[in-house]
Amino acid sequence: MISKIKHAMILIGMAWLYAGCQASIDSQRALYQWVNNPTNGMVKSKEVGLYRLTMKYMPPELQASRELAHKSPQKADDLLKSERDNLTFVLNLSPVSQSGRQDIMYQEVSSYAAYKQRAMDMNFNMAKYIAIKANGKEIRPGIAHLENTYSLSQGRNIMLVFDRRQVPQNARKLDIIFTDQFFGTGIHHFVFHQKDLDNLPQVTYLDK
Amino acid sequence: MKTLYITNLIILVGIIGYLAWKPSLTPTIAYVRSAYLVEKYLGVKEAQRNYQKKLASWQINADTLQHKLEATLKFYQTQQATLNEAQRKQLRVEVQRRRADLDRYQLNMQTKAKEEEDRLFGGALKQINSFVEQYAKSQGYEIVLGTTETGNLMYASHAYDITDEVLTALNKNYQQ
Repeated sequence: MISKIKHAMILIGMAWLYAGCQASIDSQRALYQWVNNPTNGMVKSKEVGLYRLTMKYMPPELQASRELAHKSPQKADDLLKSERDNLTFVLNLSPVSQSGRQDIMYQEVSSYAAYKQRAMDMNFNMAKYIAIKANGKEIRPGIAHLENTYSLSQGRNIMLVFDRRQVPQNARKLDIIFTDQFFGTGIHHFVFHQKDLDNLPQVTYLDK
Repeated sequence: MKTLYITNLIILVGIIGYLAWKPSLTPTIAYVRSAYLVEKYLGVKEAQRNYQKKLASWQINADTLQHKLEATLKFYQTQQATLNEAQRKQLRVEVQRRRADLDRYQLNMQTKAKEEEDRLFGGALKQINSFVEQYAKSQGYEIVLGTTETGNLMYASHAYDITDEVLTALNKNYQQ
């Protein structure tokens, strides 16, 4: 009798583990939560002095979800298919403390000309300062642009899109290198493990 | 008798407990060997490599300008007997222009090299300072001194030296 109970408990435990491994994501909110949870390996952050630099992987599912939210006429499948050709990341540059700090665009600039130069560089020249290194190969982003020059928030996002076909398929690590030319914080490495990027649970709400 | 014994024991345990838990009045101090930390930090090494790479690429451009100047000058010197005055004058202008190009480029290169050096190495040093602060807070150090060759710390026991553990954590943080 005890043996049977033990067996039943083991089976229940295994079923629970299986269910845990097969967890799915059923809303955009849950998807954002997963991506933003640092333990899932899709977001890496560094702090240097007054600045925080955060690099976040944007899975194709999230990109497709965002597009659909903007009432794109395309179907989720088509969107996913086109997004899977890309590797998309967002680099966020923010002050560490949000209180009393001015907009990051004005930090460490001494004149209007310097500000203009920064806005120009961040809008059009970011690709020069960012690359993925994978298996010794260096890949520059096809798109690297500042989301918005003017903003109510003190930080800024830079959208980075790489051509996935250029990244070696057997690469286990993607090392994104950002050489800061703006805030004097040096060279930064954000290392993503391919197994973490592939570990996104099934996103079910896109199929509905 | 037994009650007295137990009471004394409780008081003794209480005193030991208090001494163990009472906040320390002396700050937790450690030091790092600054020059060693900077020398061995991967961020500084990468900054050095990038800086050298940039210098080398600028130098190639300067060499090209130098060669062009020398070639024009050589042509002028060897061919001037065969040229008429107008052609000689045109070549002299050309030599002056190439020399000015080279001078301007070299001056610009020096300024840019200085800016790049400040940006790359200054950034790496900021990373070290910022990390030491974060590390000290996380490990409960209240003061971390940085020793320099000019001797701002005359003596400290090796027990207070946390250079190696800071360096390991710093390099790990840089690579992740």
